[in-house]
Amino acid sequence: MKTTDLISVLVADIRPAGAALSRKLILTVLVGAILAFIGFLIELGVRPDIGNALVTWRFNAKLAVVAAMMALGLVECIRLCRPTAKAWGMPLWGSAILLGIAALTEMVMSPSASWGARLVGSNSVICLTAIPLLSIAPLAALLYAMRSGAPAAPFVAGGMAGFAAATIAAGIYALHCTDDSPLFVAAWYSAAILIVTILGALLGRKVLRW
Amino acid sequence: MGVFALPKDNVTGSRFRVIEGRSEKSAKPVTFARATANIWQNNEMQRELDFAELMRAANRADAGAYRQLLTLLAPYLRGIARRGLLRAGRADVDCEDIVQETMLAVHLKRETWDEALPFLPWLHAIAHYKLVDILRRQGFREYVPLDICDELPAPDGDAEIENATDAGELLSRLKGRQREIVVGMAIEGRSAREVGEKLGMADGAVRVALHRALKTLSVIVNKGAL
Repeated sequence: MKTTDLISVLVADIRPAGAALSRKLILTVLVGAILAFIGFLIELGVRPDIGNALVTWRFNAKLAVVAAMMALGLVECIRLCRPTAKAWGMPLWGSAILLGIAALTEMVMSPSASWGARLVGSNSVICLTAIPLLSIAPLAALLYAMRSGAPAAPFVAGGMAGFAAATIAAGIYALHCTDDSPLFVAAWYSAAILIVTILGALLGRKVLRW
Repeated sequence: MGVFALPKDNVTGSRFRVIEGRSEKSAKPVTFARATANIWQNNEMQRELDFAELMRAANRADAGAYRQLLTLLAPYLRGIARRGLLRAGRADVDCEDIVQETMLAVHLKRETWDEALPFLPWLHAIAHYKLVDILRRQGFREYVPLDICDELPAPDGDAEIENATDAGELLSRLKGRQREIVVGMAIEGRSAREVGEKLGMADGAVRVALHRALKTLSVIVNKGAL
């Protein structure tokens, strides 16, 4: 086919530009998050002492840190949909700093003899399985939405999709988990999030090419 | 602004005469490098404004503006592709394939351009991605990414539009009904209704099928069926 023919084909297919990518992405992710939350309510459920937990700084810090990581991840996903965007892995560094600050605060506020017990917690295995499982729906939604984008580096963009999906899952799982110590969050939540990030990157390399 | 190593065909082309004209009027001695940098900037700025305006119109479904934009893009992209292939030492790869795949990507990924942002960096990013992608598909793995802002201007190849009777083989990969629709609407110039009557489809369905066919095309291409 001649290039002039291709031009005719493309002109024949003209249509007004659709809704902004960011809006599509947020709406799709919302669907994924709701699905994950339904799954969470069926399988795990909110911890029984949620009322008491909501007034402790540790529980609130856990939610705040995870929410901040989620915001960083989603903003990065939207940004990476543009082919001009360069990826610096900013959400990863940002999260490391937030988690580090939270962990240091915990180490200042609690006796050093209790650090070990706080770090190991009681639920690490559930944490490592529940967060990846809860990420499935948000990750699928994010990758689907990002397919209409044009990421210059599909591997990195997929990784960021995995990261954002895992933080959504972590936010949901945090309502069940009774290990509120920032030391536990910094160790186990990040491990679970990292697993999904790598998975997302591997998937992204396949599905986010365009 | 650094010194540019202009491609050969530019030095003997119209650019050179413009540079001489400028240096006569100017009080300061104008070095060749500075003059070419100025001309380059002016040309690129004008191009940026023109392309961006046409693209904005195209986003409002202005077919005339869109055709004009794509017609202007063809020689510009040909320049980018040829330069990229030269740098990669792969003059054997068909540059028209890169041009056509880039155009298809521009079409399908239009929404990733923010109308408030410059158009050319976006275009270069897409062209660069496609260039690297095609080279990789053809087994080239050592390509050093260029900084897209350092791109040289594309040669103004008015003559190249006619010369491009070219071997791009993008459309030949569609099959069956999708192919009939694309060929009917675009190459034979029929309307959606005419094609629909021939194939027994509503014209809305024909339009949807055309869009799908283009998406299919980009997927086929991506699977490396070259």
